[in-house]
Amino acid sequence: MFSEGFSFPHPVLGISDDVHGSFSFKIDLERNNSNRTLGFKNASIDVNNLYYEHLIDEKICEYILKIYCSSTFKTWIIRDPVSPFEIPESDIANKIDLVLMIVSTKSIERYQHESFNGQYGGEIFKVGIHEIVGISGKITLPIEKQDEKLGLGSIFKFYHHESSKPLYFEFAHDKIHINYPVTELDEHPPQICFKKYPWTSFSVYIIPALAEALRLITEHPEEYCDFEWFTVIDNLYPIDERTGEYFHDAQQLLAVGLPTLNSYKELFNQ
Amino acid sequence: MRENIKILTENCCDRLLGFEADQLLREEYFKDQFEPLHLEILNTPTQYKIDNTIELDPENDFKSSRIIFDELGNLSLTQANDRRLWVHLTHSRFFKYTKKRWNIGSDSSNNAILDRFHFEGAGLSTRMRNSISRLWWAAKVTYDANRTNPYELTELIWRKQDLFMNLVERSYGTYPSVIYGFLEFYKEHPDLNDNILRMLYKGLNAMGGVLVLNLLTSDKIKEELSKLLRFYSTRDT
Repeated sequence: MFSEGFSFPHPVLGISDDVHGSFSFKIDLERNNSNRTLGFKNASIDVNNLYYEHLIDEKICEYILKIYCSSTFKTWIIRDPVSPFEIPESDIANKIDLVLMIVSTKSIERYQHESFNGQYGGEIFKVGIHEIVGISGKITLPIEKQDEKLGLGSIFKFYHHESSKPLYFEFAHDKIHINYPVTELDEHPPQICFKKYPWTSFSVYIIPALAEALRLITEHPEEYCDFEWFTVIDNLYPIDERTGEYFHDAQQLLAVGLPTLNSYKELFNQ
Repeated sequence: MRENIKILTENCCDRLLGFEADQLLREEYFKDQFEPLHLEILNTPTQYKIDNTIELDPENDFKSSRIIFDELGNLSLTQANDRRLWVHLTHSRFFKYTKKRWNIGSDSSNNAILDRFHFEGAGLSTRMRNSISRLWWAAKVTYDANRTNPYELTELIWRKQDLFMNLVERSYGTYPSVIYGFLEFYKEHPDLNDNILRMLYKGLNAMGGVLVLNLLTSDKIKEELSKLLRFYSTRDT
């Protein structure tokens, strides 16, 4: 949850004591992994100025929440921030900035009240439609990286061990650990294989690991759901798109054609 | 021929940033090709492909922008924020292009290399400075599938570097109605000089302090720009 206090700076912009009173804003934010959204709910806005209460109640003004992500060039204008709403995770990255505003929904010919700063001398202002009459400070919320981004690349880590042990995988970490044997000459096969024969390497190292990961996601979700690889795979390949055949689904998950045929082509230069 | 885009590892992106302290690494930027041994490629394929025969034109940002967006228009916003993609493209496939476009040579500053080859930071300016991501993002914010020529506004935004910088590096650059409105206004007033344009950027920015610009249509933005233009023209005469 975050909250923020406010001022009513208009029409003399930048002076926070233009109007006596303030308002405050609270909202809960949660990540929804099932539909990959960021959910905002339980919002409450308290205004302790009768004039602004009146403007809101009479729908002369409304609350508008502006959410802005500078990394994705995306801005959302939420016209009813008190009701729960969601924004897609795929449209945000790194951080979002939030600003709550009180905005006029129509022209106000006589914008004036006794709570306005006495220095105005009872001046009557005119406010146009969509003008900002109250604004919060900027709230910046960091967004943790939890997206698959360009693919599966972020979920594997390679480790080596002595040559007598076969290839094996470990899943009790945020990354899937691919443990491979080195040769007797202490060479590291993945380093060379992925460069020269990437498709063959996917078949040897990646697809079996993905097949096992898909099995664990299906059969032991409670045990593994907190790991990063679980979220990434589950997001990339939602359950309703999977066939339940883990090895088959692992090949589909790569989404780059049939790995065995690609491997054949690269090995035999077709 | 189309090939899957490869991306660098995060570690590799970090290591490449060491060019400021590592003279040998820095010198790579002045060679014809960046040594591939410095580039550690991620061991998994991406779902995106790029034609390996395309060439970008260092003399024509619009043309290059269109080529990049034609190839990679389907990237999601999150994917277009992945530095592993852009840093790899500037260090491999489009290394020569980047050097030529930005006149990168041994006398170039570290900041120039950082801005054009790397992708550090969460703000608008990072996206608009990396040599390749800027081409993609400029097309992204101006491409309008509802037009006869969807790239009409993209072409306009690249007419002047000043226009590009001032429109997309301000926060209102993220509001489609503002970008569309401003560019349409510019199309109707192609003779506006740089001074007037600068006043319009500033005026619009100031207006954004009082008005919720996102709530205005592009036609309304044009209307407001006309008022500003009248105001500034009157004031200057």
